[in-house]
Amino acid sequence: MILRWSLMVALLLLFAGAGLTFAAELTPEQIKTFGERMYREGVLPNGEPMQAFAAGEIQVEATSFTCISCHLRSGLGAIEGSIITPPATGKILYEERTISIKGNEFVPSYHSYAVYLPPRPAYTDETLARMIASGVDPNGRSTMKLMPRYQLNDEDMAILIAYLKTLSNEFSVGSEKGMLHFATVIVEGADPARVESMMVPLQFSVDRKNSLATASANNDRVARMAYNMLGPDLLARRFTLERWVLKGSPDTWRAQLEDYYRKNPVFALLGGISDGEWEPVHRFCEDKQLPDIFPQVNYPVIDNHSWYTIYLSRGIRQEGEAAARYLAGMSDLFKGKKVLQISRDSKRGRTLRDGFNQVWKQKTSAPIIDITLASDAELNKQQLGKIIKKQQPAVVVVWDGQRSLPALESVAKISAWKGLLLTSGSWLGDELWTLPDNLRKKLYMTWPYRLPQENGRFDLSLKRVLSGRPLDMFNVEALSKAYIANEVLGKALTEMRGEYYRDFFLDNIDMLDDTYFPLYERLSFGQGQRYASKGCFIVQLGKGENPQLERRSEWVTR
Amino acid sequence: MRSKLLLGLLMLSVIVVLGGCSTHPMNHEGMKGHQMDNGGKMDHSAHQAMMQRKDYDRKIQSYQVPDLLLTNNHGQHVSLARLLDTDKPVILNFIYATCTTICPMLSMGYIDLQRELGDQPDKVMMISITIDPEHDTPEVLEAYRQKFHGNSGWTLLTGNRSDIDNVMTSFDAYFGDKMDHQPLNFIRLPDKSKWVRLNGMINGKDFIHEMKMAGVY
Ligand code: HEC
Repeated sequence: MILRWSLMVALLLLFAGAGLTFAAELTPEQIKTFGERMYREGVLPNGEPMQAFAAGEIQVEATSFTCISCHLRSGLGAIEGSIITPPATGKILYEERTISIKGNEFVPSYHSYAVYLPPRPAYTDETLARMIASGVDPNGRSTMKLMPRYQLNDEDMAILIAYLKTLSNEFSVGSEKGMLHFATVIVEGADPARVESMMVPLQFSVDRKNSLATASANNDRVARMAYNMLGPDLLARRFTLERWVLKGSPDTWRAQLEDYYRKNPVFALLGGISDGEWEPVHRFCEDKQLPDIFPQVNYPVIDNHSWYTIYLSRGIRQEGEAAARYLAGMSDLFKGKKVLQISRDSKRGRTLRDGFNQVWKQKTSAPIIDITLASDAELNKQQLGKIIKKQQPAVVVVWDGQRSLPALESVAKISAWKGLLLTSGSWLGDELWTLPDNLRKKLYMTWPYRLPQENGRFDLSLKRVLSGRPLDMFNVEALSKAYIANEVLGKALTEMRGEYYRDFFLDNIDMLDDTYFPLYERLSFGQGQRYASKGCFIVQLGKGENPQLERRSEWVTR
Repeated sequence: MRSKLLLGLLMLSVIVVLGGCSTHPMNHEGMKGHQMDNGGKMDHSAHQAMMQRKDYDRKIQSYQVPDLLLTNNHGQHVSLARLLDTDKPVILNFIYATCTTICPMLSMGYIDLQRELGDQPDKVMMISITIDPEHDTPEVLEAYRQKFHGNSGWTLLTGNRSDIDNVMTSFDAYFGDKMDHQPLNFIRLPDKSKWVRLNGMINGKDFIHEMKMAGVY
């Protein structure tokens, strides 16, 4: 209602101020729909592409020069390399720009558009329309070197401007009155040790933040330091963290989530954990435009248009994909030979197989013999041996856990076969470290993490959140993943200049540098990138009592 | 941003997890000398200088381009050396698919040239190498080309991370992180040993002019 009212006011002002003709009778919802489409897709209300003139006078279709690709989804702009893209939201455009951001004049950690662009007076509807149409700002300065100009009729221009006025206009829910509310979703049945290990870093940083808020209220020195780092707003904010436990079958989760959210509409979800399904939570977040950073799930939703959940990786599937990429790169191995792929008929087995097959088919035409292993069947050594001797595949891929190790061992002994044997390292669990010697030489494994012997240097960071308790009390994997969520939360919030919009929160994560945290070799980001770790090593197990994993591939192969 | 780093260290003792350290070190050519040590405000002369900086920088340099196997936007392995072993004019840049302002503008330059070339799109070899090979698979690059209506004269390349880093380094275009990259265009001179290095947001007219000057077009 409030939104609708402010839109009406905005439109009235538009008529009065700019004298733009606005013939059609459009509802605020239509304006949002059409305006958003212009902003995000570069498509006019009539379905035609918008026309833009970029880099001087080059005419282009705006579908490849959308506002969102430079000003980002929140409209609050971006800084990349030495290039500054300022905000394009009504709220900021209709205020004068001085050489620092209002209310944050003395925060040295805020490098921002205001510092690097010239001051300008507040826009009016007229000067804004002129800016978008001709690339001339209210100072009379041309911005065409970077900012395209757009050919729009009056009506479409009015819609776009009305849309900009709604963009990042009121803080998102969950950020009221000096607070920032978070929750973490726990699907009942998840291993309690993992749940508790996940909660430790999350709770730690919430508590730390709150004690910092208290300390800076009482101590000037702390306040000054916190001000410099976090700015006046974030410094004083208090955080809350709630556990949202989901019970019963996944088709009842939606109602449970709605209920939690109605009682406590949080700003974002942090982490989250499920041993199986996650999709209903993912969909809920999309519908509510609710960010969730780094839920700990094996089966993330894989698509390239969802926005609100950022996953640590593509989960189990990523191992299958990496295996296919690695093997396809060894074309000498094949020369007309086949791949024999045996997959357990379980969610994990099918996911690995599907990931493998999809990438394989993109990369090569070498045929795959697919064999499915019923969920209760043992992999039969004799049969397998026969197939291998007969087919002479270049590669045997087995997607199964420890259960098939005896069969793998017997395959490794077939002297009449010279191919390569590959399985999922993460699925072997602790058995991985005690593989028999003859298998170590022969078996290649996917390993979607940093090599353990290189991860030790991060223990110190992890211990910081344990308040003196020893690391081996915890599930280090769950702890590390939550630690990452925390770090990313901190980085994004400190870049947000006290502007609590969920889209801006995600935009800031998207603009993060590559980062080096515990567990994963590297996390990387980018506008709309939703799976932060893209890598997976192919490894073999070394010799000896305390063997190490030996790298056989790069983290990411293309 | 030395001041920021120092503050970051100080703050670590107060706030351990939230807001560790800077993620956008702004140590770029374009912004050198803009340390803001007077409480976040930049003095006016620095500000003025900043505003008046030239559009782009031009240098002539030779590069030892390594011979590596990269993968093009059709998923084919291509040798970079063989690709460059051509009598055609070559232009080259570094982009990535999810990059904001810089890359759309660099790609714009290519599209503009492509238009000038009209029905001879293959007359100039236009190469873009991704600096985000982790995300940019051949499929992603092909979608990127199509989004810009690029034609067959434009080859986009990805590869293993270490190989890509190698190529960037050989063009003195390695900036540590993709978020710190710069708007660079390279035009190979007809004698093939030297390149014109253009650093900055260059407009369409200037880009074509530079290519004419280089004898490329
Ligand atoms: C290729 C990147 C790019 C695209 C696409 C783009 N902009 Fe911009 N925009 C910029 C940059 C960079 C500036 C700052 C230019 C300057 O001040 O020199 C800017 C400035 C602006 C400004 C003026 C800001 C101010 O404070 O003076 C407005 C308003 C704006 N853009 C709106 C839009 C809208 C609306 C669209 C889509 C129809 C759009 N932009 C598309 C890059 C872009």
